[in-house]
Amino acid sequence: MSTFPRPPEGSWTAHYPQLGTGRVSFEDSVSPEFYELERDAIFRRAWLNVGRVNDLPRNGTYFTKELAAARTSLLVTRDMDGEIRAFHNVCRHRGNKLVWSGTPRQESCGAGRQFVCKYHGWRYGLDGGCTYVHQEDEFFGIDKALLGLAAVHCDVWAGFIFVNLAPTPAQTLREYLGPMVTPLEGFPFHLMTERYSFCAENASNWKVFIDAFQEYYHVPPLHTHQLGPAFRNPEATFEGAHYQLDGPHRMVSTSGTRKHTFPAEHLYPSELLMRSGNTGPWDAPDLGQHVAGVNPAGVAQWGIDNYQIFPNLEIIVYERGWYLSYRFWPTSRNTHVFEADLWFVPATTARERLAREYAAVTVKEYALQDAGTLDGTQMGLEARAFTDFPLNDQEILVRHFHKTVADWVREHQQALAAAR
Amino acid sequence: MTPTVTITADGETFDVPQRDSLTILLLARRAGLCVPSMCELGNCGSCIARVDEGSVEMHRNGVLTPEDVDAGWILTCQAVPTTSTVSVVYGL
Amino acid sequence: MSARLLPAEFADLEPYARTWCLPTEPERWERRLASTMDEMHGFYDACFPRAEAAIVYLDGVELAAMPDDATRLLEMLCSLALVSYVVEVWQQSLPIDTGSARIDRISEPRP
Repeated sequence: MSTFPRPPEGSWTAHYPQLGTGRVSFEDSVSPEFYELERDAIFRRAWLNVGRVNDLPRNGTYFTKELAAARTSLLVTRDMDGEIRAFHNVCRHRGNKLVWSGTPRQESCGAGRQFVCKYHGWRYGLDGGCTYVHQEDEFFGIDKALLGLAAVHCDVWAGFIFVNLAPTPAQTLREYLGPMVTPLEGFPFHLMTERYSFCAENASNWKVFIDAFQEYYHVPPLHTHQLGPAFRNPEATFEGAHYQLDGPHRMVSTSGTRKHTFPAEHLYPSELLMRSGNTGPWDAPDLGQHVAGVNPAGVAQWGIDNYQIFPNLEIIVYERGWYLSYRFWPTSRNTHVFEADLWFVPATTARERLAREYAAVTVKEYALQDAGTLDGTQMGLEARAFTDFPLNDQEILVRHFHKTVADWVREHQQALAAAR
Repeated sequence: MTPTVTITADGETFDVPQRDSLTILLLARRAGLCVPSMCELGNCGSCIARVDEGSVEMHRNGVLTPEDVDAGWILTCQAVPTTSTVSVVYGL
Repeated sequence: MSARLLPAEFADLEPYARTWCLPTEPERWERRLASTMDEMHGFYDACFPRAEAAIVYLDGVELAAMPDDATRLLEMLCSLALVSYVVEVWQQSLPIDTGSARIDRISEPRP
């Protein structure tokens, strides 16, 4: 018997008949050939979130972003008029990596007015234009105006910076995000500027890791320690309050689990001391009239909205007035870089600072359980002991995600074949 | 008293003795501080910092405007102290 | 005689200051992994009962302009947050099922 009403078809999955209810394949997460197809079909065609406006804190700042799956490094700049642009991080002369610090294998960030290639000294402005060619008269008929950096499409939504590596993206960013995702811009991301960031190199396919974050069916068994031993129930279940799909994107709203209302004996001593835990600081900031676009289905006792923005961005907004984003960047068929950013309204007291610290500590503790387990999931899938897998209604987002990946790869293959 | 450059970077402050005619960037690097730089020719602005006390002289300036200079901004890869007490802040 | 690291009214926590007053999570995490269960229980047993008083004390200090001894007390409480998971939740250094995984904190506010 469901706690939350299901659609008239009887299940969330049946509400979207194109999904089917049969077993699914996870060959897409182990096949080397499929990974090569994904790199172009998805990572050189979709809008990709590479950072936030907070990463470009002033006019004249930049950061670089390594996109191994797309075989490129990007340079993202904010010019002296505040405009944000993105380029391939490559000098127009002989293809040297233009901006790096420490080692060209790592990302960097900083301030500047021009970029200077360390190889032959060519210079580029924040707008990507070539401003200086050393010994210019040694060249044969070159025009600096035509020697700027290779721009990539770049746009900003709700403070999130997106790029698209396609020569001509099929949709604008706003069209791509669509009517389910765009209302989330009503959430006051811009007020949340205190940041806690994490990075991991995980030994699993990027999609295997994403799957653990788009279903909470695993929470009672894997994250059993989120409740003290006296209150753990081996029969505990999870039910999403609302699932929704739109195009390539998907989301779930949860209800209940308001730790800040639990009786003290149900909580760990440090949760009580720090007034915080896995749903974040208990003392929510006063956001006034700022909050809109959350809890689209109006579920009672709303906890979080978890938006999965295809291909690899996850944004979770919390009833307690903070948010996090996760990004998952493939580096091979069975490894990826995981980035997590937690954002809060800035603390003004030590107590508030500690509540945020404890929330950040908590995210890492439980994410380590996911990461450790998913190494094993990747190994299990690679054994190919099974080739199809059953998914339940609470795993609808997993089902939709893998179908979307397959659709994008198939469509791209068809387009390439038609062009030949 | 030893001529000194007080350098604030990454929220920490260090007193670094001036020596020879080393630039602010080289003094910082010699003291083991991790401060930003890229071209080290005065052309990019990555090594920018603000002078809060004392004064410096830059060998070259390829990017800062007169307004930048009036506001105290310097290219630390080019800037040599000209007073016995200088204080600079990175990362503003 | 070494200088006091913490505010005078928390002199009882001085024995733990050099070990646990660490300004960044990566340092505190490495200290957690390098400590024995006895060491972490000892720190927790001394610090936890004093933590609410420490928070009240620190709330009387401006967060953006903390004197060094208050900053160190705050850093100790951040270490307590990490050690609390060892003592209250896992009864071991790392979360259950961490396996070979590693997650690094790369950015945080200071203090």
